[in-house]
Amino acid sequence: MPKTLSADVDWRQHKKICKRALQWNHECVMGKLLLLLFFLTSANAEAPENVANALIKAIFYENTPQIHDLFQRYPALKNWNSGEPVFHPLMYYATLMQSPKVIALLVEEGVALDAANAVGVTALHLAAYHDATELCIALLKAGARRTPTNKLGQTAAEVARVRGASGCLRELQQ
Amino acid sequence: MIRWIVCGALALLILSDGWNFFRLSHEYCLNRDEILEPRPMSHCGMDMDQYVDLSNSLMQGHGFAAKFVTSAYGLFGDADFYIPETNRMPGYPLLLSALRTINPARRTLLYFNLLCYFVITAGAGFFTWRFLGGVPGLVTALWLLNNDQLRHWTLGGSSDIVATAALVIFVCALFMRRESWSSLFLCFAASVAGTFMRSNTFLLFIPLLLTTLVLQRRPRLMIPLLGLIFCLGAWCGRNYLVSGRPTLSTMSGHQLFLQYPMSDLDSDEAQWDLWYSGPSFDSVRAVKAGENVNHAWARIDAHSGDLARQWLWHHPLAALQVFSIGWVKFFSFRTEGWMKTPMDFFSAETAAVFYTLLLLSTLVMAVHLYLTTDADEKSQAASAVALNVATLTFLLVSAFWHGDWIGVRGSMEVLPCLFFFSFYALRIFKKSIARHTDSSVATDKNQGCD
Repeated sequence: MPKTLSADVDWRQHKKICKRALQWNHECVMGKLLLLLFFLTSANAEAPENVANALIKAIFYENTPQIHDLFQRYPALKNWNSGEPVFHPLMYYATLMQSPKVIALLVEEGVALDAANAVGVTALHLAAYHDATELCIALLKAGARRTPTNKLGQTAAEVARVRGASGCLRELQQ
Repeated sequence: MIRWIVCGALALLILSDGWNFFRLSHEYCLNRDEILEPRPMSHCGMDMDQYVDLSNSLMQGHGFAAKFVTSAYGLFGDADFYIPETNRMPGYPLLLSALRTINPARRTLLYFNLLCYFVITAGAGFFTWRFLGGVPGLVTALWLLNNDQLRHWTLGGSSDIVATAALVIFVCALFMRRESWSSLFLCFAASVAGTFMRSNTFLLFIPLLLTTLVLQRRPRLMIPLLGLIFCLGAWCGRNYLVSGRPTLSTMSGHQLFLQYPMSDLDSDEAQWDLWYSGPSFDSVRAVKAGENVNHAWARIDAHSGDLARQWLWHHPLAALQVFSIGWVKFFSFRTEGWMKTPMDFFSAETAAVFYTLLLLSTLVMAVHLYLTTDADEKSQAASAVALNVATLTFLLVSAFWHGDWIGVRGSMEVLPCLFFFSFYALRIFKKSIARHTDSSVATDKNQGCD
C-alpha cells in the first residue's frame, strides 16, 4: 500500500491546471459579486413570510401580548395567506393549539374565521374532526360558518358524523 | 498580472461574503443580543429553540428536561409540534450553557460556529488538495465557503455545524493517518464528539467499523466497537429516562406523507389524518390534559412511523417521483434568494443528489479496481470503494434510523466526503482513459512497425 495518494502527483502539471482554474474562477468571481450585490439588496428582515412565522410561533406559545403587538405593527397580517400549501390559516393554528383565548383574540383582531388550508379544511372542520366540543362552541359563537366544504365535499357536520364526534355534531346541528 | 487580479477578486469575494454574513448576523441575530431571547425571525429560529430550552433547564439545575418546545418550521408548520429532548443530544445544550456562562451575548455562539465553519472549509479543502491536487481543493473550499446551508447552520445556531466539523476532523484524521490505520484515536474522538452534538453522527461508527475491517492489516475492531456500544448505551439509557422506553428512534416519520403529491389526494384515512394535524392535535390535547410531553411525543412518534412505513409500502411510485424532483430543485435552489431556500430542499432532495453521485463514483472505482493491473492503484481503488460503500451505508442506515424515506438529516454531514469521492472518481476515470489512449497509440505504433 502506498504511503500517500499524492505520491504520483506531477506538480508542474498541476501548476498549469491551477492557472487554468484560476482564470475560470475569475469569470465566476464576477458573477458571484453580482449575485452578492443582488442578495445584499434583497435581504429583508421584515418580509411578510418572516413576520408571519413569528406570528405562528406566538400562537403556538399562546403569547397574546406578542400576537397583539404583531397585529399592531403589521395590520396586513390579518389577511395573511402565504399561498403555499405548507401553511394553514391563522385560525387553524389557534384551533390546533386548543386555545379559546387565542381564538377570541384573533377574532377580535379581525382574522378570517372561515379561511381554509390547501385541502379546504377550516378551523371548524378541525375542531369537528377531533371532537373538540369547547372549540366548536367558541368558533360557532364567534360566527364561523357551517357551510364550507373540504376537498372531499364534506361540511364540518359531515366530518363530525363520519368521525363519530357526537359532541361537536350536536353543536353543529343546532 | 492576471494572477493578481484573480487573487484580488477572490479576496474581495471572501471579504464581501464575510461582510454580508456579518451584516445579516447583526440584522437577524446579534441585534437581539441574548441567546436566551426569542428570535422573531425564522432565520434564527429552527432547532435553536429546543437547544436553548434544554440549555435553560441545565442552567437552572433541572437537568436535561425541556418543558415546552415547539417548532413552527416543520414542513406543514406543525409537522413536529412537540419535540422533546429525546430528539436532542446533550452535547449541544451543554456547549450552549458553557458559552452562555462565558458570555451570554449571542455573538459568542456565532463566533464559535464561525470557527466550526472555518474548520469545515479549510479541512475539506486541505485534504482534497493534499491528495487530489490544487484545483479540486480550491473548488471544494470555495463551494463550501459559499454554501447556503453551512451559513444557515452558523447563523441559526444549529448543532449540525458542530457535527459536520467533527466529521471533517474524522475524515482528515482518517486520511492523514493512512500510513497507520490502527491509529484511530482521533476518528474515535471526533465521532464521540459529533454523536453528543447530533444523534446522526453516531452512525459514523458504521463507516469507521467498515473501513477498519477492510483496510486494517491487523484489525483492531475493539476501539470503534467499544465506541459504538458506549454511544448506543448512553443514548438508549437517556431515552429510557425521558420517555420510559429504551428507544432508538429519534424522529417522526410522518414527513413522508407530507411529500405526497396533492393532486393524488384521495379519501385515504391516514393521509387525511395528517391534513387534520392528527398527531399534533393529539399531542397538544394529551399535554393539556397533564400527560408528560415526552410520553405524548414518543407515543405519537411511534404511530407516525408506522403510518410512514405503510405509506412507503403502498405508494412506492410516489416516493420515486419525489426523489426525481430533487434533481430539478438542486439546480434551481437559488431562485428564492440567499437564505431563503425552499423549505424542504436541504433534506430529501440533497440526499437524492448525494446518493446518485456516490453510487456513480462507487461504480467508477469498482470498475477501475477490476480492470487495473497495477498493485498500488488496485490498493488505492480498494480503499476508495470501501470508504464509498461505508458512506453509502451511513446514508442508508441514517434513512432507516430517522424513519424517513431517504436519509433526510444524515446527508449534509457527509458533504465534504462527497467532494473527495467525486474528484477521486473523476481522476481515476481520466487516468483510465489516458492509459487506454496511450495503449491504443502504442498498439498502433507497434502495428505500424510490423
